[in-house]
Amino acid sequence: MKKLSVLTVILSLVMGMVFISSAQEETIELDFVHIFSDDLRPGVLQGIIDEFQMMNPNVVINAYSTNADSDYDEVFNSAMANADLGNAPNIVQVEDGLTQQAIDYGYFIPISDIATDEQLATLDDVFPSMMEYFLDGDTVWAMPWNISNPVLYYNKDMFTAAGLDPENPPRTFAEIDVACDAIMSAIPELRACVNWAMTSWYVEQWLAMSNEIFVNNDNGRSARATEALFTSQTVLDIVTWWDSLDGKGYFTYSGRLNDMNGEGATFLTGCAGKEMRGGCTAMTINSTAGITLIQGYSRTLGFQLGIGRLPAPSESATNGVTIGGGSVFVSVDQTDAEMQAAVDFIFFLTNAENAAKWHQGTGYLPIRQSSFDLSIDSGFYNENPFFRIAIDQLAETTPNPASAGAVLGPNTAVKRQLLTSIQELINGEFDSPETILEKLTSANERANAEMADYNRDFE
Amino acid sequence: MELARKWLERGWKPLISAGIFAFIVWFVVGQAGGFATLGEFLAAAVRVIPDAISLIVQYYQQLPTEQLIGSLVIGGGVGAIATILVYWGAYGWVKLPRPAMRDMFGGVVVGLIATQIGVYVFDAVLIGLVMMIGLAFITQKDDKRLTRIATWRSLMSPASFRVTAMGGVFGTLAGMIGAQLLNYPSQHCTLATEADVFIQQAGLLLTIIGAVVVLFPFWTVTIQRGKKIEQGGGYFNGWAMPLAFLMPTLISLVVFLYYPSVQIALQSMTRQRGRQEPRFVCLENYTDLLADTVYRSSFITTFFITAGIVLFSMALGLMIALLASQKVRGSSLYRTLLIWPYAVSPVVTAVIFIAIFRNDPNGFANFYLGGLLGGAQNWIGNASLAPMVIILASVWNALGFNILFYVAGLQNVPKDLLEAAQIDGANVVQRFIRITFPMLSPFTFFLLITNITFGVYGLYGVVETLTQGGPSIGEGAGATNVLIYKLYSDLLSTSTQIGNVAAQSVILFVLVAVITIVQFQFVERRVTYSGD
Repeated sequence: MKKLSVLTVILSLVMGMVFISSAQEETIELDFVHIFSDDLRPGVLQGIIDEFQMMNPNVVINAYSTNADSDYDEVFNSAMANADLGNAPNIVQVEDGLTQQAIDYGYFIPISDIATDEQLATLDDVFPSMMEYFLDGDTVWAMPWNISNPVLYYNKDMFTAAGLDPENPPRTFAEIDVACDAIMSAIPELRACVNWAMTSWYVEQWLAMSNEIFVNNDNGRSARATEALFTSQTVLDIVTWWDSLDGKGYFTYSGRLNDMNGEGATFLTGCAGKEMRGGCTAMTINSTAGITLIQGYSRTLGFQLGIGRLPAPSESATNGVTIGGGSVFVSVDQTDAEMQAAVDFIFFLTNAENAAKWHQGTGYLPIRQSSFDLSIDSGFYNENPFFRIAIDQLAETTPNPASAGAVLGPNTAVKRQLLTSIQELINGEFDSPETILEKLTSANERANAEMADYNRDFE
Repeated sequence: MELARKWLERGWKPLISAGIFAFIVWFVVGQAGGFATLGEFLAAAVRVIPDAISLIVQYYQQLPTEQLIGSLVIGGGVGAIATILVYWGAYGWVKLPRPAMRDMFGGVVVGLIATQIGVYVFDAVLIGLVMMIGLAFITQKDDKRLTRIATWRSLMSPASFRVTAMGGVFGTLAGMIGAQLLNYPSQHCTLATEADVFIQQAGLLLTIIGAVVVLFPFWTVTIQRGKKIEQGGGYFNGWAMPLAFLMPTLISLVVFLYYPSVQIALQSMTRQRGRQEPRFVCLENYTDLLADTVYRSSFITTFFITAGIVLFSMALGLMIALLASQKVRGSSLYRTLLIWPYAVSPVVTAVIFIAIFRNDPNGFANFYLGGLLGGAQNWIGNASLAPMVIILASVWNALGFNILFYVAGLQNVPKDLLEAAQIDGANVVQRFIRITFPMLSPFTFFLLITNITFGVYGLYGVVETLTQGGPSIGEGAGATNVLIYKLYSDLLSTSTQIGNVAAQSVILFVLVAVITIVQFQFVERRVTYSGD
């Protein structure tokens, strides 16, 4: 009798464990790491995730950013480090510049290896300029997700106060100089006339607009890039102008690299003592990803916000901008079921409705023609004309290697070399043309060394 | 009661054995999963031995003859000469010198001159070593020195010939085997004819080091042989029991220290990014590092910052310890408070120092400097001030440790000596210089090593929090980019080439190992222990 009861207990325990483990097998839990730690974008994303989980009750998606101000490099690093420890996040947001490295390093599996034919067929709808970034022949490595380009944000009240036309923001470097002369004499309390983040992204944009490449071998698209082209006349002109703007006291930046959020804050608030509302500058260049945030803050702070296209180096720089932003990659270290669920989720995240939702909620570009059409049909742009600017300026881009943007293995290291030199110039006073050339030449040499070192491992 | 008496009569030994046994069982059962993994790991290691042997055989069959012969000749030559000398010394025919400070100095000078007139670095190191040993032989004052004719006459005896022949043969063999110790893992790549001259020089040095590493235990064993070690009737008789007790230590050393070290060393000779298969590249990572200006300046930065930390933390530590050892009311409270900074982690230390030195009129330093003297500085962003801030923060952090040991050391200084000196009319300074400081030398020596190790290895937290190796741009960029910080930041960067980082860590390890060996060889001999 005693034996029997013991047996029953053991049996029921075993059954219970079998039951629990089988229940666990049915639930698929996916980790999705991204960079967003603001109070807007995670919410938009969570809405899409909730909907997906409703449709797929066996899938749980934990979307999170690594910390309060994580950037792309950090998310990428921690994803790789965790993968080496056996805790690979299933879905990772990767910056466009890190795409080549994400492909080279072997932590991710191409989406096209898992996706069904029906899923892949829907990719025809994705804007080619965005899709091409993630294609290697027929292989689809990743799905473009948060795609943006830079625009000029400006304070219309300050433009009016300076006697400028608030509906006509500057469109070239020369026009920025003219506008700044007026603004700085009208509102001397400003810290500077214009600010933007210390990043190579805008230099790349201005090169693309001038139909110039950033690195050799067609911006690294016909073969791996081996040489940086930082000493071309166009780069010299861009940096010289930037340095002169700074020398006149018209330019400022937060002192940190790639500080998109900090620059947004400088434009929005601070600098007491001036008559009109707004921040410490009258203009700022920032990603379209900031439209919702900056527009929201400008309404709260009570000033008229204007948004214009990214100013070009000159009248002759007629090409459009390149894309920037991030895509989603799928980790190779997961079960087939997890991979399938991850890819299903990625296609759900970027389907027409959700891409439109993401676009309208954040200011990132709609990645599909259909999501763009949805936004037009719903009359979204009638109420929110700003959201169209980024799409229009991208539509004007003539596709060529320059406007496709650079593909680089050692992306972060190469761009840091350029940035270090520019930062040294901007932190100083007016620099002579010789100094500028000298700094850019040394940046070029260091960047070439970085590429040579990287390419050695991928011959 | 009866039971307890019985237990006591049976003695405590079985009780303790049972206790130890129970602990082991408890520990093993509790960690069963971990031990199973460890067991699998060890079993796998044993299982691959036959494969490994056949791999080694295969490897030597394929090895180009000139590379093998190169390693055998170098190893054999060094082995034969050194072994013969050591045997002569062991038989008392010759007195082998121990290089004194002066010999080492001469070696270093000659080595430095050699590098200046264009000799390759590793050659210069060898020339310096040979010079050092040569000087030691020539300058030693002993009847049995090799430079005396009488010594050579005594070596002409038949017994000496036998020993010389034996030493020659066995030394050659041991040296040849030892030469493979570092050449096998590096695939004899340094001895290839097409290798860079620089790498060949490094290979020569590596071959000799490998030979010497094998020769030392070889000498110990062969000379000890015949001298029967007294086997007492201790509790741990035989070899099985002691071995069993040593096993946990040995296994954890092998698994957690030696195995990873060997892995890192092997990795440092490969290139690998992400999940690539590692590719063998000989010593390329090392030559790349030597050619890398950033790495070289990081080396110099480390040297000066470490020197600053060692100097100031030890000098200040001694001064404060002297004050804290005075008999004052509440001195133990003072001591506790003085030692307390040591309990603060480097990151917290750095946060405190950010509050003091931050580049902002409200930082403590700038508030007072700016307000009183008008000399506010960008402490952390200035290339010449930032290293000072790092040194200051680290000194503050390490100070407690130094005070602790010096206070303990000062209590060991015999009072009678000090009193005798006082009666003889020695003043405070004289007593300190002639008695206290020399009596403290074991503590100073110990603190010197731990402080240098701290200065080289322990700065990551402070640098990461305070300066991130910066200032990052402009003149003097990377003024606080010390080796350990560069190692971490390279490892954590997106495009890490793992072999390069492995090479950095090997260099760092060798650096500290060499410092420690040099100190034990040359500094410790000047140290007085326990007053004799």
